[in-house]
Amino acid sequence: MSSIVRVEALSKHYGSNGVRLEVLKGIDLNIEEGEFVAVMGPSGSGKSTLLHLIGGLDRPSGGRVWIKDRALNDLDDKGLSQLRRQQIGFVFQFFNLLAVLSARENVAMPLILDGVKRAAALQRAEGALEAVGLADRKDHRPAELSGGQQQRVAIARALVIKPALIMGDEPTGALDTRTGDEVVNLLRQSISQERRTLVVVTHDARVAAHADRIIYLKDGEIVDDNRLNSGERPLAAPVSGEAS
Amino acid sequence: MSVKYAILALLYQRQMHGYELGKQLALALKTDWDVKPGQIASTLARLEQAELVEPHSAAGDAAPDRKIYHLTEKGVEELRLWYLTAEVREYRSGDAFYLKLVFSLTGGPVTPEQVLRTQRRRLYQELHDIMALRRQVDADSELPLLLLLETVILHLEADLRWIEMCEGRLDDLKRYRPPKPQRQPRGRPKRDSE
Repeated sequence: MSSIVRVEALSKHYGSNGVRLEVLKGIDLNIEEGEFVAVMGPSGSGKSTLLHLIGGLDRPSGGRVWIKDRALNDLDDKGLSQLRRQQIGFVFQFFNLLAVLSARENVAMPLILDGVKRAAALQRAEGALEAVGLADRKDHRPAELSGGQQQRVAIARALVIKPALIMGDEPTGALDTRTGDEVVNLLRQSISQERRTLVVVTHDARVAAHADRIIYLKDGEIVDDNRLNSGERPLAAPVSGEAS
Repeated sequence: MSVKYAILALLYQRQMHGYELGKQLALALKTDWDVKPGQIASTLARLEQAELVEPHSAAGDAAPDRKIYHLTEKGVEELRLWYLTAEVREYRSGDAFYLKLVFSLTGGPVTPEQVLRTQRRRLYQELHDIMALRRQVDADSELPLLLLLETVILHLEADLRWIEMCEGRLDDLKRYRPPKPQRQPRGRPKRDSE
């Protein structure tokens, strides 16, 4: 297996003049291709910051990040946003869809930004919407869709660029349990078919339990790195009854 | 749940012989709650002795597993009572994990952090396995099983949240000192007045 994400001595701090807030304190981490990793930890532990640094949405104070052997530190802002557009699909808690655009136009947006012709982009967007089960909602605007549907549009938008890496920041945080399950299942399927990598920040045990690996942060440090076994066997049994 | 009441519940719905009961039990529950044919036969015998069920064998066909059983009036009453008796869930104040946590707080060969982490890993593995199973369950044709899995999931979630809560308050917990046992006065208690 090869690493898709490599993080070395990554740190982030805010503030100056003695008031220094250390959000991440030297994180080392390797994420393998095809892995589903959940990042957990109490609020303020630095998990969203870690996600933003890996995804190139923010710059570290120290340390380095590689995505597929490209060092993010060496990229200028333009290079960084190009890498994001081509390699990383983002899914956020509150969907972050553009309210004035239809589902199809929202999904097409990253392609158009990347220079794909509008007609071709819209066509690929339709395919992506179909893949998340929303073919019949392509002309709806976000306000005309339920929360779960909006998140599926956001997933289609993340997938349309065929990213190597999908990053979710509390992607089920605004959804009820059942809809959240659907969204996580959709994300899972989208990586297992294409051997993509999925990194999700969550505080929800139910979401994390789908992952192959759970990383816990506390006070800006990794305190546990828990790899879960997925045997072929679909588990012995949930319940063992006592006899008679 | 016991085999006894499962049998009563099924026989209330229709009369059956032992072999059929076994199949129906497996179908109704679809878990690995493995009930052996011998266990069904012995339970039926006990139920018969207690006059809760009654066999009527088809003419000439006296093999014990071919006896067809139905509930007696007493059996129906027993079943009704079972349905209307609330189940008491056992809480875990005496369980081994709680003891590990509490003793590790005041000094042990491992830290409370290690105790919590070990338990959390185990719980997540269980939840991971259940989630994998749940993904294979058909929500329409296997709804009872789905709901059974949900209760397991929710309990695991509750345990995990509790561990989170303990971790969040670990600094306070570490300051905890158990109260000193009160010295009991020896001998016969004195009477205040006579």
